[in-house]
Amino acid sequence: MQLVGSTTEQFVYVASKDRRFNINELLIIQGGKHGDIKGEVVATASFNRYIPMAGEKNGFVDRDTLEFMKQVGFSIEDESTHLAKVRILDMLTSPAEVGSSVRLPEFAEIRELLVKRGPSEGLTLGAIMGTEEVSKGMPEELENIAYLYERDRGILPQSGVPFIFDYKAMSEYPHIGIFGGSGSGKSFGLRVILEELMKKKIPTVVFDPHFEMEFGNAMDGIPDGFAEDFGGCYEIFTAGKDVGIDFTELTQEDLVNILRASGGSISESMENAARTLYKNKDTFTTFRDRLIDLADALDMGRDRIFRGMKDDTEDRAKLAGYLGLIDAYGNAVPYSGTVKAILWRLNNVARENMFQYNIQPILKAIGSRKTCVVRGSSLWVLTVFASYLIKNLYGRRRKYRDSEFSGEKAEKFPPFVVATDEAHNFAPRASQSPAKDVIREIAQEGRKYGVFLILATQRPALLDDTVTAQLNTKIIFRTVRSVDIATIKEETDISPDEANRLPYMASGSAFISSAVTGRTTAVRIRAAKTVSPHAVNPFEELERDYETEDSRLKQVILKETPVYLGNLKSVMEAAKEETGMVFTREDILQAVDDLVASGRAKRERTPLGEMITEARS
Amino acid sequence: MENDLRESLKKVNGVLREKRDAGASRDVMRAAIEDKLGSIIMAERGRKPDWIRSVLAVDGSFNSYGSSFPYIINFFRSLAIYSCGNERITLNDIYTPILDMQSYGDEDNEDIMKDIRDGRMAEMEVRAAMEGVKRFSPSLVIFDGGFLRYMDKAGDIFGEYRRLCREKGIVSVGVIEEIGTFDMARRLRDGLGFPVEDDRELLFGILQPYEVLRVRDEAQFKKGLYTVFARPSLHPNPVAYDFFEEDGGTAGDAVSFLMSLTPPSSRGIPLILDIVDGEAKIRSGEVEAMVDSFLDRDIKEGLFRPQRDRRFAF
Repeated sequence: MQLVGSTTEQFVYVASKDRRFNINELLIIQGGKHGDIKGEVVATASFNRYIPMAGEKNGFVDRDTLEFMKQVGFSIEDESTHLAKVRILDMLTSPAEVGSSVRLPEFAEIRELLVKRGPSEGLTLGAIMGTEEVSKGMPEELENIAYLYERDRGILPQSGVPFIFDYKAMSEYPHIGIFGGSGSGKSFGLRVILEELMKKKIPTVVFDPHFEMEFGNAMDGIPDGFAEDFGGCYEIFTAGKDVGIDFTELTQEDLVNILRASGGSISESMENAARTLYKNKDTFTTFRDRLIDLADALDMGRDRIFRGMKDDTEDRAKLAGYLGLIDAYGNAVPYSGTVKAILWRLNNVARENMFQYNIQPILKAIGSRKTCVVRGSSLWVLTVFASYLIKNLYGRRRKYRDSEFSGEKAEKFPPFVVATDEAHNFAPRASQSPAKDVIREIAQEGRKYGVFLILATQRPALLDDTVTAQLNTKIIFRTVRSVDIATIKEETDISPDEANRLPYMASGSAFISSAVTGRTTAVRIRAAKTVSPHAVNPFEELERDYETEDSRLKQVILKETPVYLGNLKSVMEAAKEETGMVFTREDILQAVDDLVASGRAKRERTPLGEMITEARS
Repeated sequence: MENDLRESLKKVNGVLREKRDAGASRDVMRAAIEDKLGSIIMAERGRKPDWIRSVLAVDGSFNSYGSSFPYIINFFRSLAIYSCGNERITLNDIYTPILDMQSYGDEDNEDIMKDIRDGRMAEMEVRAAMEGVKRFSPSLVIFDGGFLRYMDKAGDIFGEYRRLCREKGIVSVGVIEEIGTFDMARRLRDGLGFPVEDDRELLFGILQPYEVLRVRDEAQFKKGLYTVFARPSLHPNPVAYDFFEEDGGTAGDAVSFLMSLTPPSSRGIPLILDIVDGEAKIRSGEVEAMVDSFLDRDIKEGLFRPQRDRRFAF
């Protein structure tokens, strides 16, 4: 192997007569005044001088002609040349020397480049592509820690050097983005990261819009030493079911936020009204009743209230209360419409039982360094709750950290990670979202407080710019849309050659562009140890779990045999019980005919009439 | 397009069209050829004659750099590839009139230089072939181009080469892509009732793919040589193969063998000749690089660099 053609300080071409290059493999360029230079193959090509490109100029060189040339001794294979475009990984100040010889590295030479941390000190996310050969010389502790998975082949042995993410370096280079289209392996990548975080007992809050983040089902065929029980490491919470928003703990700001979240946006008069009407220590009921009464009072108007009090036609005490409300708030909130709009929004949230619970269970789980999977009955509920939860948790952590400097007393609260799929819904680029402000704040300031984001999305182009810019590590799976590829090119150090490969990446393969490693690494993400509860193909599920009514009826009939056609009552009852459907006599006779015709049942004449029995085969 | 230009082109087309349309039908032409020249037979492709065990393919190229006489450097390269093991023999040389002023008189220096250059080129090709014949003893040597050029420009060494081959029983063939002779056309002209200018025009489109025209001995027109014509690919262009007279007996075998080395979709010459041609080619970039590394800058810029190079490129 040797350097050919023209070179620059960043890129060189390496040619070889006998060795085919692998994409992403590392090479050492020897000699010259630069000493040994490390490089990574970013594009490969092979050509044969005897078999030129077919085109307008060259005719197509057919097999027969080549076979014939072989007969007189030409060896066609010998004329193959393999070419690799190599990105130089060292800093050079002048171009590499053309003609330098090139060799494969020993593991020790590139260890520093590939694995900065051992598996006990980092997150083992997968195997680095192109390191299959060099991995032969690696120490035992790096072996068999990243089994791979392929759809039709199942679990495969680790091939290559493991990619171990130095998560502690996140304190310097915070936040992770995971980008990729559907089916690219993005959710599965997120799962692998979460598994690793659980192993390291890093408190994490995961928002789970797809109800897939469960870690109880082990992956099929996983080797014994690799399997892991995450049972005690995570808990699942559902907003409105076991966790919710503690109304008494809300601040004005929180309340405005929730109102905003519940309806998309909120007018200035509504915001003012909400702030004015909300009192410290309000419960949901006291606040809501105040709003109802005020709306009523404003509808009646001062005059009618006075009249009512004079006429004694209505409850005096109630009217006096109304009057009090108008006196207190009438100036700030003059129209009942504003109040009703707030009420409508508040009720939307209340209807989801959000105000019946609090976040204590989550706080407890985080305190014990667990992963909290948070779900909601809809994406809307989840976003509303997420905005409240993230803000609350971040506030606690911030208060605690600030207290260490200010000397104020604050409750101890650990650093934590916030992870979510569909992140573009939580922090969208163009539109508002309840959680956007706090996610932005964490993106910019979270590092100081030890709060980190892991944001997965299939639409990086739709993710808020400020947030994207702060993601110091980006894991990029197959991406097809050109706008998303453009965003990725802009936000990472991914090379044009790599960007060209993005639409064609295999599921589960990713480029990890990270400020932590200082370069882009192509990685095959390891097999997850657990699977999502609905990893089953829906069509297979249909075949397996849902038989047609007809066949279910037939099964009931066979179970009830012997059946006398003169008395089908018991069969009808059994069918109803079993299937929850009512079948007529005709339905059953038809099914019986089918069963007999297909040979699964036999018809016999008996003194009690026709009898159907199951045919024994 | 300018009006008169259009008219002129139309006229050219008209003349040629008329000639073609007036010509005899293909069948008549074939009959005349078989009557006066030789037999048309279908080659047997895909069969390797036992006597051909290995081949040597030879080609050369030149390129030049410079302004005007005598500040011109000619670069030559000839290459022979031997089939067993893809062994290569490469010869490189340069020629510049500056070191050879005694060959030049007062006038027509450019023509003299052209003669010398062509001679050198032919000689180098033959030398590469001779070297290959000595070293490898191939069964068949394939030249890119007819033998007349070698006989004309490098007669002595080509004669020596021919003797060597005869001694060792080696067959040589020159593959001619662009047929430039007109002897056959002349011979046939009167019988056809319409004028055919040259041999290429005579044979174009007349032969079926893989048909060979074996010209009878008495109709052979190159002295000391034996020439076979054929349509070796789907392309209608005819190709000629020069053999030494003494190898005439094996010419049929050799031609069908060469056809098998020719991709059917190509324009008709054996693939190996295209390969040798490509490898032998001295590219302008190479010339520039050599000039840059061996001539001082002031000498190159002052004497050799063509003014044309300094034009703005549009």
